[in-house]
Amino acid sequence: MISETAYAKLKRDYRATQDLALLVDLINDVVGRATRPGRIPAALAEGGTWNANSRAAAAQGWIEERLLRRNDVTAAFDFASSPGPFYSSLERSFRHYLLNAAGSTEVQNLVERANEVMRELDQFDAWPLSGAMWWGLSAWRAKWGDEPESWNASDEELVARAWAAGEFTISRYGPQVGRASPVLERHELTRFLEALFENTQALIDNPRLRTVFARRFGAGEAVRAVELFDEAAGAGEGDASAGIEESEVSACAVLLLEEITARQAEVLRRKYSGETLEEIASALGIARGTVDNELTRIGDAAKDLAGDYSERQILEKVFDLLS
Amino acid sequence: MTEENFKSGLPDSICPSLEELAISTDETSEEMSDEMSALEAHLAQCARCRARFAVLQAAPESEPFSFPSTLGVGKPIRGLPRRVRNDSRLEFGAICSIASDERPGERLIVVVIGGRPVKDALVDGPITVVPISVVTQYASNWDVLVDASDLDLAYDCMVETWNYGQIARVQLDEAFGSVHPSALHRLELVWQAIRKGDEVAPDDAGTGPRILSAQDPRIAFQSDEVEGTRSFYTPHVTQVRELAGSLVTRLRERAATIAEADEPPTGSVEAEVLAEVRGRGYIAAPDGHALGKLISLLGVDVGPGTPEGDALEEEASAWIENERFEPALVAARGSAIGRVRGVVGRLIPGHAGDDRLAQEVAAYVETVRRAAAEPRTKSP
Repeated sequence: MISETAYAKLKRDYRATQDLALLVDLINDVVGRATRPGRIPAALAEGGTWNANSRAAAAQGWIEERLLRRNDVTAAFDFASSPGPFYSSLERSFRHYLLNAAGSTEVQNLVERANEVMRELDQFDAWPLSGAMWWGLSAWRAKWGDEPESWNASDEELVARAWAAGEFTISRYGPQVGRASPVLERHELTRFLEALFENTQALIDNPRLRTVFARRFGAGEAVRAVELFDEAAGAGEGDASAGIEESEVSACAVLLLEEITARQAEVLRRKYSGETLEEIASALGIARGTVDNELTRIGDAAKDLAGDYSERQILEKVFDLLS
Repeated sequence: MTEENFKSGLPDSICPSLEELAISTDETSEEMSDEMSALEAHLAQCARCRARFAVLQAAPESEPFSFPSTLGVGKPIRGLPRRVRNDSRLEFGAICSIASDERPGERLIVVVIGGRPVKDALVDGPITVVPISVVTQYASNWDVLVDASDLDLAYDCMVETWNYGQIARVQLDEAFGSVHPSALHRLELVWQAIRKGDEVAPDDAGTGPRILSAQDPRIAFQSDEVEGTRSFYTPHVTQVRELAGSLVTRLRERAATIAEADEPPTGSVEAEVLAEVRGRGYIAAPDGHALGKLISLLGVDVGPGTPEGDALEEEASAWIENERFEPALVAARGSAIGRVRGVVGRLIPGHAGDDRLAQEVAAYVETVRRAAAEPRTKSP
């Protein structure tokens, strides 16, 4: 850990030179500390395990994607005047890089997967219009026949309707599948498409679906859709060893612990200790509604991390750690 | 460390990074006794960090690894603009970092959108600012998206015009230059729309998509942003007397002198309201009857036409909006009622509107006043 004086010098020197070599030791510390055994799920490592190679690969990706391309280092210096918040900012940047790592072709995969889902499920239907395939709800055929409304407003408005569809869980494969990719699972993809069409009340074509997926789910960085949905879903039920599962649930819990605030942790600890919402509110000097909101946020964060495991497993493990 | 926080499990200080947590195991830790003391004090208060610390201690060291040869060291990232500390040029569009006593070591990056030259930073007028966020994927219709090349920061960001607040000049830390003319024009358009109370930001302002539903996950993001900026706004706004008319401030002053024998029974709703009043500069919508009883206990007159009565009506509006449209963003900052209504109205199209709000506020205020007028009974 560097001193306040060393931090001030580092900040000044980096701003003057923009030379990442000044930060090599620091980056090494952040990556090494974050990926100590048991700290981050192995599913997020290249090859499904954390070792020298996967750490180096993660460091490389983080540097390229976040520290160089997005200039996260400059931002981290701007938002911190002492080493503690600066390290926190870089640690968060690294974690979020791992959670969101994906290639630029993933949106196309998601569009293809959405097409497949809409072809297979009865609640969706397709209309060939002007040489292109447009998608919508099958109920519209009875209502509008062969000429339903197609989307003719702006992309901005379409994306706004997509956001209005609500929250959707992005899962990740567990270690059994050996992939780190975040995935919008089939049932969540179906739920999203239904909500989207309900909100638009108009047919949407593939280019617009691509826009929606790219912008609603993180400009193509946050979601992968691959052809392994069913394999991933089934993988958790079969031959997974209990040891691996326990270790991965623990790692998810440790990661969740990094994502939540001190107040959220305290709310969770008290809730799992059997206190009522009113008792928690009183003890922490906050409104009952705030307690409710904090629990919702913890639950959402747990869902995002859970992957093959249940949200409850993760939360119980966090409670164990807090106790 | 306060006794109250020690019991509650909530720390007074911000949580340390993993790196800071790890210093206690470093060989050089003897040289860092001050940091160690602060860390130990934090660990005594914070269940989350005790757990993080335990995990860190239990985890074996990582295998060493070497950086790939393609690491972009020795090459400038992109042209970082010259940054000059100059707090005398706080005109519209200036970018600064600001500090807060409540968040040591952290900085909020803001764009100045209002203020005037002042002589005394503490007692003269505050500066109105809007925060900058780098989490651009959550941009809404009131977030102005700015490319790295369009401002003197060198990274893409969004200007959260909806999350504006006031600060004192003493909070200013670094000056980072300004937003460049093309983006500044867009920012001006959006800011004017906010000032006029428009329902939506102008189409050509380069903002994100509108928020159309309370289900939109961006509302939770905005709530977190409000939480993150609150400590940069509230304490210093208090210093510049922005909250001078606040009912909460008055109740807190009275509550400080309450006799032990008059304390509401522990666990009662009145005691909860009192704890909120004492603990913070703002409170969430309290039970109307309990607030009335507390007001009676503190001997405050909230009748119509009194300053405290006016403050009750104003704050009741903010509380009720906040409760109904959680998160209603700026409501919790003790901000002016017009601002709260404006923000909620923009966020939730088709929300109940002023008439229903006025009815709810009137009913709530009536409940408080009725309870305040009831004869006091001694605590058991």
